[in-house]
Amino acid sequence: MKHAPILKWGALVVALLAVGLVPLPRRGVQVRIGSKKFTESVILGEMLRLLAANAGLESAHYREFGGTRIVFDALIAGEIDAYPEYTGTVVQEILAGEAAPDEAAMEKALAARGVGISKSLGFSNTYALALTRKRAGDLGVASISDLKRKPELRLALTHEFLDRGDGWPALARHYDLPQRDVVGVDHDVAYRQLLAGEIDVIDVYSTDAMIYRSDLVVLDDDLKFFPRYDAVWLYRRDAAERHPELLAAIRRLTGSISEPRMRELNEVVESRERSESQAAAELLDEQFGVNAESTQTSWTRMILGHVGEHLDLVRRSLLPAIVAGVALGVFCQRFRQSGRVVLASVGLLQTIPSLALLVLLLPVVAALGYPSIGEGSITAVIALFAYCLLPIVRNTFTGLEGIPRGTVESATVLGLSPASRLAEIELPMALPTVLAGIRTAAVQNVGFATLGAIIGAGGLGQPILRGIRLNDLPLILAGAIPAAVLALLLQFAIDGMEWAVVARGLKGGRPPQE
Amino acid sequence: MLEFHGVSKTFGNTTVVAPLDLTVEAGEVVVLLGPSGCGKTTILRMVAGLVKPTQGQIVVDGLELDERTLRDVRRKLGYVIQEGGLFPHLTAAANVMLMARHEGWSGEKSKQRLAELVEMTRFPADGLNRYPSELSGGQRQRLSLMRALFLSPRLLLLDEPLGALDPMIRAGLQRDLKAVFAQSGATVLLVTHDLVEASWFANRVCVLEAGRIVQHGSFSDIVEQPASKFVREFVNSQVVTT
Repeated sequence: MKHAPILKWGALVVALLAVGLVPLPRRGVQVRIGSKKFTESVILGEMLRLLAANAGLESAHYREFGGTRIVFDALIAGEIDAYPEYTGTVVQEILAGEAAPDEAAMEKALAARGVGISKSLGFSNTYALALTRKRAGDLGVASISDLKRKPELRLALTHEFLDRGDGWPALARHYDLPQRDVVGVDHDVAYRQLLAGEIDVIDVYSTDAMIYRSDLVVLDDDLKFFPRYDAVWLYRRDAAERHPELLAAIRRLTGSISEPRMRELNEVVESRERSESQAAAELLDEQFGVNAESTQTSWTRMILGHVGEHLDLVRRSLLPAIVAGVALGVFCQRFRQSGRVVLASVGLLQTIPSLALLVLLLPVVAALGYPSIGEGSITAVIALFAYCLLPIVRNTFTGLEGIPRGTVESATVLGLSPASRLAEIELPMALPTVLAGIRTAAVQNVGFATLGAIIGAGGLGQPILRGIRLNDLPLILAGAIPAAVLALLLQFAIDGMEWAVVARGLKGGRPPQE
Repeated sequence: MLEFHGVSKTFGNTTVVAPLDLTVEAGEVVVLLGPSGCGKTTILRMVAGLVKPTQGQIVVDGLELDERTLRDVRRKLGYVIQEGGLFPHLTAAANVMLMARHEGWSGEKSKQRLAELVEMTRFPADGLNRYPSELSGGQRQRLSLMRALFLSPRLLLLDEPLGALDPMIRAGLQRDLKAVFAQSGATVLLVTHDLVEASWFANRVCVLEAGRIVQHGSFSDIVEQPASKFVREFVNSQVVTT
């Protein structure tokens, strides 16, 4: 009885942690296939998923994980079992020059990492530089060497191409290119900027549908800089042993897709005539007579699915952050010296760019032996948790600080123990401020959680990413609008909670006249 | 009932309370009188265990105040401050009865005690379900007094209990307060800068200047035979205005 209020807070902590920390059961999947964040990779991933499913394997496809580093790390960590890659990328980026670019050496170096590599799928998708036909005509350039004469040209290159070993720095050296106006942008954005005339040259993949649709000129690699980028499958050798059907499916796909056919597939997806899944199913049908059931989910189901994933991210990050944030806020107020350090650290966490935080966390989470990528990964959850802390810690601290000294001392002299004082006087009095902090954290959290899609954690960021890739405004809105609605609903819910739990005496009444 | 033996308090180089020796007998009302900054509030806060004396000993009802006895000493205290120190998130009744649950009182016993105190302090009965923010200043001080008296303390500590009130309300509460002191039988240590309050309540008055008792006696002694220029000026300044 005496400790009832303390027990009530304890029960609340247990409830928040229980609801926040319990993972949802993961789908039972035998084979996990990954793909990178561009159309072709997603189509190829979908192809293998359909073929493996057709061979009786329970398989899932984690679409558009991100760049090479993230997807390959996921393969090594066992988060995925296979993903489509290009030989040039394997040599230059993954093995970073440690193996000679011949097949045997590559195979050996990958085998040392437990990774197998398939034969070519039948087409090569090499890097190239491109301009609009009109601009190329005006400038009179047809090969990369011609760029030497035009130092004023503006280049917009993908971040990956800018940074990788076989990318821009090596290309510029190889051709002795003088351009200095080089910016890094997203691939899909670069196309739009190019067509708008804001930039002159972009990097493209040779199977990009956009090259033909937008009538771009691909510059001739006259000094033979770019290596071959044959499309292949990388897979975990242990997964191939466990599921021979997977290896069989991969082998069936080798040599099955020509470069023009791949370009067509990219085109029908990017023009939104077909989904990635439908395009993949079409190829399987014409090549192998396999009648694969392409997955075509309705918009409502798609959005609801992503809302569910999104709420799961919010639940697993926000609820533990409420417990930790309030506890840290109390700590900061009780222990001023260490508290200052805590407040500063929590503030610092928020200044780390969210994308950087995600990528920095990946190897840490993987090293700890937790799923770092994909559905059920805790990387995004940890990042979101970290971002949530500041408003909650700061508001708890401020709320406690705002209690008049006389009130706290009266409670002390009345004989309340420090724990009872916190449970019965201080936390209830600070509650409106604490709830305001939680509300800020929740709204931020819903927004940040869209970034989870970058590492395959799902959520409403996924339609946004896909929409950007496919230049599909309705798809972007299908992610953005529910996210905004979710943030608003959460805000209303917390407002409602405040109305219900904050004592009338704290809401400011008017004292009567005597 | 309450003894100070060489009790002093310094903050850094500043002496707030010079070594103090004082004994307050049971049932006495002693007023610490002086301008702001004279150390009177610090003396009260040392008795409440909120400020630790730099030197000396405080004995409350035979218990020497230290870390170990703090709980038991506080059990004997009632504490009322100028702003009331009420809990804004609790109703008037809950403010008063907060400690009853911690003491394991039955609901019946608590209600009975509450009814006694409502009558003693002349708190309006319909105000019991209101929150402090819904009460007037005078009602809030009566409430604060009820809360302090609930567990029948042996020693009441009051820090400018009427300081924040309008003159009219003040007069009424002042009258009731004196009745409450008599009825409760508690020993009272009251801090004020107000000469009228001192004259109204005090059996004995201690005038403080810069942390030191400069005069000690009945109220009439202080007014009629001020012991120093400071006391005379302090008295005159208020006689003129009141």
